[in-house]
Amino acid sequence: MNHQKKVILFTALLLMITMSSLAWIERSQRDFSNGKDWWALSFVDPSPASSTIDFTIENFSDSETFTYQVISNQNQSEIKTVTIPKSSSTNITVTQNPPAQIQVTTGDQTKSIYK
Amino acid sequence: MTQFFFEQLLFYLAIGITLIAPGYLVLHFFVTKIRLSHLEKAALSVPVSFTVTTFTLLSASYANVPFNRLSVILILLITIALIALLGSHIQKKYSPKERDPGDSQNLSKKQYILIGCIFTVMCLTKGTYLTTTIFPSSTDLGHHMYWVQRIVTTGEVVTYSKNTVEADDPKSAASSPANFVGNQQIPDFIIGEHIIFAAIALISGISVVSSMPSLVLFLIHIVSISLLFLLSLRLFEKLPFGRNASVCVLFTIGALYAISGAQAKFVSGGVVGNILGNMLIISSLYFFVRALIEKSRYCILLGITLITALLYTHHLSMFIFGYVFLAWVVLFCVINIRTISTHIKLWAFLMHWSVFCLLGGIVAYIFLVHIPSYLDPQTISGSIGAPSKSTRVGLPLWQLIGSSGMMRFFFGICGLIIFAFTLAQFTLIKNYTRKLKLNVQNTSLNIHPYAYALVIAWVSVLLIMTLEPGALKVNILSTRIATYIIFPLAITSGFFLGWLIYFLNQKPSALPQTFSTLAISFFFLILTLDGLNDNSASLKEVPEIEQTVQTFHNALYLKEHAPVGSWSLKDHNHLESTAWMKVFMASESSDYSNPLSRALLARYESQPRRENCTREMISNPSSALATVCFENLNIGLVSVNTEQDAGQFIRNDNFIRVYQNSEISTFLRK
Repeated sequence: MNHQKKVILFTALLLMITMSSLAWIERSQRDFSNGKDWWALSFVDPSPASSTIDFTIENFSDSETFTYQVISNQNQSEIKTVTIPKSSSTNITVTQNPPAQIQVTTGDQTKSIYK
Repeated sequence: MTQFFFEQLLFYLAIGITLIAPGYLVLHFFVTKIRLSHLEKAALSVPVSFTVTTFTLLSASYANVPFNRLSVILILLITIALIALLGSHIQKKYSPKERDPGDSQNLSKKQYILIGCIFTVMCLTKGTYLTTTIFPSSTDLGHHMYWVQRIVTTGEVVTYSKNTVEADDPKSAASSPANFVGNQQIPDFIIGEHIIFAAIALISGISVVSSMPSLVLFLIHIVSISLLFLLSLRLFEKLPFGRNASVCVLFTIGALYAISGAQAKFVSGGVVGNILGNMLIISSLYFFVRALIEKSRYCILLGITLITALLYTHHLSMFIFGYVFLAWVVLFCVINIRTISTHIKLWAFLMHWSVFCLLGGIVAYIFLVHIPSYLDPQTISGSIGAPSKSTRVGLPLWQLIGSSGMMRFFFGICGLIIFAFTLAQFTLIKNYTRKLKLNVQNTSLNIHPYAYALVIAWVSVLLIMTLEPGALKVNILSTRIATYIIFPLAITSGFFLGWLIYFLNQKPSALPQTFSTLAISFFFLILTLDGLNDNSASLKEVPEIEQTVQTFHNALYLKEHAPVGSWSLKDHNHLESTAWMKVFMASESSDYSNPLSRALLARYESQPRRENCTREMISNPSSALATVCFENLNIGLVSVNTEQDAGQFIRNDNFIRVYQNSEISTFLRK
C-alpha cells in the first residue's frame, strides 16, 4: 500500500472516530433527562372549552416526589403526593372543573397552570 | 448502544451513497485523460457526488417522483449503476488500460507523516470545539433544517415562501396593527443547501434535529481544507519548495485558526451555504486551473458542472466566485497583454461541442426544470451597486486582521507581495524579450502564469470586497465576505512559509546556518502561538443545552395542542434556540413564519417601518394595539420566558397558562 492510500485510510478512520464520538455526545445531550434537572407541567387538554383540568407532570429532574394541589373557586383541595421517576411522566385525573389552578411543587420549585 | 451502532451504520451508508460513490465513479471512469492521484480522487469525490446527488434528486422531483426512504435509495442506486455501466463501457472502448495514478504528487514520507499529524490535530481541535456545540441549537441551522424537514415530511422539493406580516400603516408602524399581507418568496434559501441533508435523513432515518446536519457540514469542511491543500500542490507544482509550501497551507488552515470564522464555528453555526460554497469554489477552481494548464476539456466540463451546482447552492458564494473568476481573467489578460492573441489561440480547446452542449443543457435546466430562487432581477440588483447599509461599507483593517487570524493575515500579505513582486519582474522580463514562455523555467519562482494570476486575483479581489466594497460595486454584508478570505490567505501564507524555508536554506548562503534555523523557528513559533491562541479563545464558549431541550419540549407541546388554524407566537429574546421550534412543527400545511416571533428588540428600533405587533403582543398583551393584533393574526398559543414575560399574561384575563417548564410558560388565548 503506498503512502497516499495510507493517508486516505488514516484520515477516513480519524473522521469516522471523530464523527461517531460527536454523534454519541450529541445523543446524550439531546436526551431530555440525561444530566439535566428540569420538569414540565401541562394540561392534557388545554382547550378552555374543555371541562377537564387533568394534567401531566413530566419529570427530567432528580426529584421524584411531587406534591400538587387544585385551587378551585378559592377552595383548596388537600395536598396530594405523587412519585414520578426520572424520565417518565404521569397523567393526573382531577375531579374538579374549571376555573381552577393546578399548583405542583418539588423541592423548592413550584409551577402552576390554570384555566 | 446497539441502536446507536445501527444508526451510525446507516448514516455512513447514506454518506457513501450520497457523497462518495457517485463522484468516485465519475472520476474513475470518465476522467481518464488527466492524472488524478488517490488523494485527489478521494477528496474530489465529495463535491462531484454532491453535484450528482443534488441534480439527480432535483430531476426526480421534476418528474413527480415522491421522496421517501425507498425511492431515494433506488434513485441514487440506479444513478450509481448507470454511471458504472456507462463508464466501464466508455473505458473499454476508448481507453482500455487505465493508468495507475500512483503518487503523482511526489510527496516524501516525512511530508506524509506531517500531513497525518496535521489531520490529527485538525480533527482533535475542531472535534473538541464541536463536543460542546454539536447539539442542534444555532439559529441559522434551525432556519435551514425547517426546509430539510419539510422535504422529509412532504416528500417533495419545497417552494421557498412564507406568510408575511406587515403593519397596516407602515408610516406609523409603532401604533398600527398588523395583518398577514400574503405569501412572499424567500430568495435567501436555495434548494442545493437542503436536498443533500434531506437525502441523508431519509436514507439513514436519522432525525433532522440531531447531530446529522453538523456532521455532514463537518465532513464537507474537512474535504474543503483537503481540496485547498491539493489545489496548492497543483499551483506550486513546479516550485522546488512547492510541496513544503502546500503542507504549510494545510498547517495554517487545518491545525491553526481551526475554529474561528468560516471553520468549525460555521459547522455548528449551520452556515450551510458558506460551507458548501467554499467546497464548490475550491474544487471548481482546481478543475479550471488544471484545465487551463493542461488544456484539458474534461476539467473544463467538471469545473462548469461544479459551478452549476454552486449556482443551485449559495448565492453569496456564486457572487464571490464570479468576482474572483472575472478578476483572474482580467489580471491574466493584463499581465499577458502583448501575447494575449497567442493565449486566445491556445484557448481554442474550449470551443468544443461537448462544452457547448453542457452550457446549453445548463441553460435549459435552469429555465425548464428548476430556476434557483434568487435569480430574479430585484435580488441581483440589490447585491450590486453602492453599499446601502452601514454594515456593507467595508470592515476596518483591524477587524479583518482579527477575523482572519493576525499572523496568518500578516504572512498571507507577505506571500502576496512576493507573488506580486515576482509577477512584476516576470512580466517586465517577458515584455522586454517579447517571447511567450508558458513554462517559465528560468525564473526564480517557477509558477505557471495562470497560477500567479489566480492567487493574486483571489486574495486581492476579496481584500477589496471586504475593505472597500464600494470600489467594486458590492452591496453585501462585509463581515460575510470577510469569511471567504481565509482560504486564499492560507495559500499565500503557506507559500510565504515555504519560500522562507527555501530561501534561508539555500546553498551557498550568505547567512549562517544557525541564523536560518533560528529565523525559521521564530516565524513558525509566532504563527503557531497566535493560531493556537485563536483556537483556545474559541473553545471557551459553553452552550445552554438544558434551556434548549426545554424549548424543544415546548415546541412539541405547541405542535400537539395549538388550536386548529391558529398561529403561535414565541419570544426570541429570552428563550434559547427558538428557530428550531418551527422544525418540530414542519408539515405539509405549516408555514416558515409559524410560530411568529418577537424578534431582537433592537430590530424594531432600527427598522421603524417594521410591524410592531409581534413586540406588542408579548411586551404589552393588554394594550389596545395588542388586542387587535391577537385578533388579526389569530394567535392561539404564546410561549415566553417565565421570569421575564409571564407576569403580563398572568394579569390578563384573556389568557390561561396551559404549560410550564423550568424556563418557559405557554399561554392560550381564550
